[in-house]
Amino acid sequence: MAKNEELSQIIAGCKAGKSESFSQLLDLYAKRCYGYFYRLTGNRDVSDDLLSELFVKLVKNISSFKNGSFDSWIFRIASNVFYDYLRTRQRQKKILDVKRSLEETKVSADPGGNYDRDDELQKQLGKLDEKTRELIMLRFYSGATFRELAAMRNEPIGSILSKVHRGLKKLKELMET
Amino acid sequence: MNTDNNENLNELFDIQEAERILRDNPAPEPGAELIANIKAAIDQSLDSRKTNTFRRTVYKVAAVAAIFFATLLINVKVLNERKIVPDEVVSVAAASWESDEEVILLAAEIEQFEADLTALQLGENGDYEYQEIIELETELIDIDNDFWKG
Repeated sequence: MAKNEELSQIIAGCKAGKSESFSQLLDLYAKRCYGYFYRLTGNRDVSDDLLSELFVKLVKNISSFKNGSFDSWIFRIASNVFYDYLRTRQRQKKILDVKRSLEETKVSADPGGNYDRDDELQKQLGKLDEKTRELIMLRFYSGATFRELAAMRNEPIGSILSKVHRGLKKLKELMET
Repeated sequence: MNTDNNENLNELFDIQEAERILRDNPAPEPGAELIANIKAAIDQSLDSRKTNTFRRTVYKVAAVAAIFFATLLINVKVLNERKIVPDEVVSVAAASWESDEEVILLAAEIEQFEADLTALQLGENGDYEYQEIIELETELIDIDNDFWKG
């Protein structure tokens, strides 16, 4: 991870509209953001699209980043991108017939798509509810503290801690069985 | 209080331990082609942003220029309107003097009437009565007025 000063310089370059600064930012965050999207969707194509969308949004909104943790800020946008994707998918589902919609609901429990079938973690993650899974991934990939997560979710810190704890405990059990 | 803190601490240890599972099972990484495509998309987005900024600047300059010229036009018009009375007088006068023939004709008539009047006054034409002199004078005044009215 870039040192704070280096990151500040990159962000300043992005705000000035420098292409190479955005390029550096992408190199720094692509892996983590991609991991976050992939663990939530289990689909490489969708993750590709979401990562592209995230960085296009960054270009538009970089000037709105003032201070504080950049990691929290970028993952907050990533989280919005993911929830936007979910909403779009749900709208598409409503357009389809009820039978197909029910089938897709089953699929969403196992976030299918084109993930590696040997990826046991991805399989077990699909058994967690969507919000818990998102919270765990946000915590893991953004490296945000529980205090930052509480601020991002506008929830008490104790509530966030309990949700992450319960989710990870369940995941651990699923992985051990 | 202490029990709560201990519970939170235990939760944190559990979380750290469980997160090890995530570290041990890394997610796939984005492909080089994807990164290249995103960089190209960023460049395109930056270019369009620059174009939009340029376009906005051009619109602003055009708007300011339009306001400037509109103000200038209004000012010129107002100045012209202020001048319009003397200009109109000059143009009317010029129109009155346009035809030299008319002027000569009118001047000749006036001269004729003046001669008639003088003759009457000198008694050269005994046929004229006093009333006729008055009529001639009135006619002369009318012609003189018409002449100056144009």
